[in-house]
Amino acid sequence: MDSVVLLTILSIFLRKVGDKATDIVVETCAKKALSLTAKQSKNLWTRFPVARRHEFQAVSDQLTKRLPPESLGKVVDVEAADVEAADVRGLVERLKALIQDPEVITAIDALSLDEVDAVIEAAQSQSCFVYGPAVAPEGFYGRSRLIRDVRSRIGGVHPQCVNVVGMRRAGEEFPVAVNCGGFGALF
Amino acid sequence: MRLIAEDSGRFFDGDCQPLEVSLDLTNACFHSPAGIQEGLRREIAAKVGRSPWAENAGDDPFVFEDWLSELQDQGWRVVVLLDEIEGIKRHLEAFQGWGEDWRDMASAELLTMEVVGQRQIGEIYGSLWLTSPFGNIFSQSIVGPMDRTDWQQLVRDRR
Repeated sequence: MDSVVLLTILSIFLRKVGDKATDIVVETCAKKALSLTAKQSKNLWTRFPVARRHEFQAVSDQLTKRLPPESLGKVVDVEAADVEAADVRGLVERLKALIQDPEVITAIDALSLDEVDAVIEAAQSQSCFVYGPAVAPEGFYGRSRLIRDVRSRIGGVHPQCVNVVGMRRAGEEFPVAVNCGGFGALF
Repeated sequence: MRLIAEDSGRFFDGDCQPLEVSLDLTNACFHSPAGIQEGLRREIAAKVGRSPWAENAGDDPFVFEDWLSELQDQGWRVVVLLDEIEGIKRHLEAFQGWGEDWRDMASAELLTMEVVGQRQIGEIYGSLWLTSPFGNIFSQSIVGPMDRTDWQQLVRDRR
């Protein structure tokens, strides 16, 4: 149960990283673990004591890096997962301590549906994607292989022409269906 | 496209002097070869500081090639980025006969083309029952879905 709670809390943290993915994460984990509704789970983060958020976020960040990618979005037993057990265990203990904090428990108890709706509405207005014009170079993500290919051709000793084929505006953030671990998302 | 234009250091070595010209063929200005050539002239003029050829000399077939040759001698590498290449389908009449001269210039390394579209350029011409004037000078790169690590990083950074 502890590992499930852990992933639920981790999922609530992940809510902040994207609407599509974390809807499913939160629903999957929350229903199985804390019996919270998805909406209630979404509100939890905002009710976290501010002083605890940073610590929680730091732990979650570290844990996310250590968990196998396919475990994200699923209810898994962290301690049984094929990861560096000793490494993860310390993080698990920190998270356990956090969610036992009286302030956090109070925050969970104080969940209110009215507030939840307001949070949902605010969350739906946020997106990590930029629509419209092409992004600036500093906002360009990924495509390292494509960049390498193009560089080797147009930037080679003997320049060569290249035909780049893809969906419109696919260079950065065009919605392309990808299968990302345990959940589907649109990117 | 914009990445190449604004962050050329990622694509060219320090001793290479790139001169990138980016033209979006959905722009009405570039719905004809003459428009593309004029766009090229203006971009070069803006970057080099002088007009490579007179505005009204666009019909002279020698002027374009001579200037590219001169730029090459000066150490410039002219890279022409043609976005939305499918645009030629919608203005096929204007583009009749266009391309072979560009192919020759590319083969002579006077310019380098990067064409971007939703389909391979050979397929675009093939769908019109035409043969691509560019032959086999293009290598192909396909932009697919973002890698898992890339989109995860994107989401994390912008949360």
